Amino acid sequence: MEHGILNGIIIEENEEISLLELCQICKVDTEWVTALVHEGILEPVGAEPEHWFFSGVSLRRVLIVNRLQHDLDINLAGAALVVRLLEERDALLAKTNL
Amino acid sequence: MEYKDYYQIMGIPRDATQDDIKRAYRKLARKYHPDVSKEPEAEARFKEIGEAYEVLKDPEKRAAYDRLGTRWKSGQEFQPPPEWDQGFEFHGGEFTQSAASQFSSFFEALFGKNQSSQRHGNQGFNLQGEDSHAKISIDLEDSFNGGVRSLTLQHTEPGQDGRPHIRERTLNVRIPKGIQQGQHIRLAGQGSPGAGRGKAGDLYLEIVFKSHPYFSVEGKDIFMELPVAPWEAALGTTISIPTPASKVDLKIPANSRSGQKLRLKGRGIPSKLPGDLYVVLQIVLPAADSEQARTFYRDMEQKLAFNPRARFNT
Repeated sequence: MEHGILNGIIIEENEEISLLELCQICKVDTEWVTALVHEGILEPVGAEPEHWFFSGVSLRRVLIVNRLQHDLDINLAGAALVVRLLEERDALLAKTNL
Repeated sequence: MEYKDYYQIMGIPRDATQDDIKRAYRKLARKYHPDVSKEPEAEARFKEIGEAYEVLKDPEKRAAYDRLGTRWKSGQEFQPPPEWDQGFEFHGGEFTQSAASQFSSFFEALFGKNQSSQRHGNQGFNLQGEDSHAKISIDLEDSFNGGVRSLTLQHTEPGQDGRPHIRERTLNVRIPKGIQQGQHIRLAGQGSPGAGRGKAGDLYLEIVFKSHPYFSVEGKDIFMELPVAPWEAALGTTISIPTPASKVDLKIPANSRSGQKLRLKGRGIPSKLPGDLYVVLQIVLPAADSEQARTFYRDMEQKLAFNPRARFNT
């Protein structure tokens, strides 16, 4: 048991996570993240990978795509489609309050 | 420990081919994948299916499992027969499923622990601990008012007997004001401990809003349905409505329609650019359940020249 109150930092929607940080947080390699960018799943700001910065949404997408690929053995294009449909579904569910 | 019927879990006969097993697994995995599924208990089911598949897809493990025979029933008290695993050689202790560290004690008794999860204590190395991830459910109001939520996390760590034990720890986390669904909070140093003098990893908490009886959330905007009486919508009025922060008075303009959206600017989730609160009007009709009410409706019919279907051009 720990009693102190922990203060966290919000990972903002603003693009502020570097490629290396993203890889470390999600335990994936840079090559794979680069493939996600080329597939259009992630949209970092910055032209070159060394200057890429990712938003908090990217963090979530990386984790989901990684699990989907690993567990369901689907390719990146398929995972990209699933993530998009999931986001659409969740938005609709939130709207209808189900 | 309880016996697990892996064939029953995957819904396949004992003489299923390896192709059948793979097909059954793919189907179930898509149905119960925790990122995709809205089925209740999806996560528990997914783990169970993963464990069954781990055994049945591997001809060595499957043959060993089949040797236990068919007299066992799911959930029955089970002890592995003495020397049951002699004559079997399992190649490598590596399991392919990510959930390998969470396999049941039944699985572990038969096939041992996942070797790769036991690389603890790299003495002589200073290695930074890994970052870890968890979800935390909060009320919408927490995002408005801040507040402290406690969260219980389970993790495995090596016990004194050298075997991994499940330990629980409770964290009290301050919820930052303005946090949104799907955002992450980073708690520095709360991930896995480092090795040697390496510092601990960070813990990333994904925020999930609990469903609210009358508010729904889209990004920073909040929506609510507001039931109004026909005369309130027709004549206009001022209604006191709840918002996640406080009650406010909302002016309903005369001749409002059902489904009309009224925007309360800046009353959504707080931030530098706060979201908006949208109130969707829903006109509720009084029931014609008394003679007086029926007379009143007939009176309206006669006095108001009203055709709700004017756009059909009939």
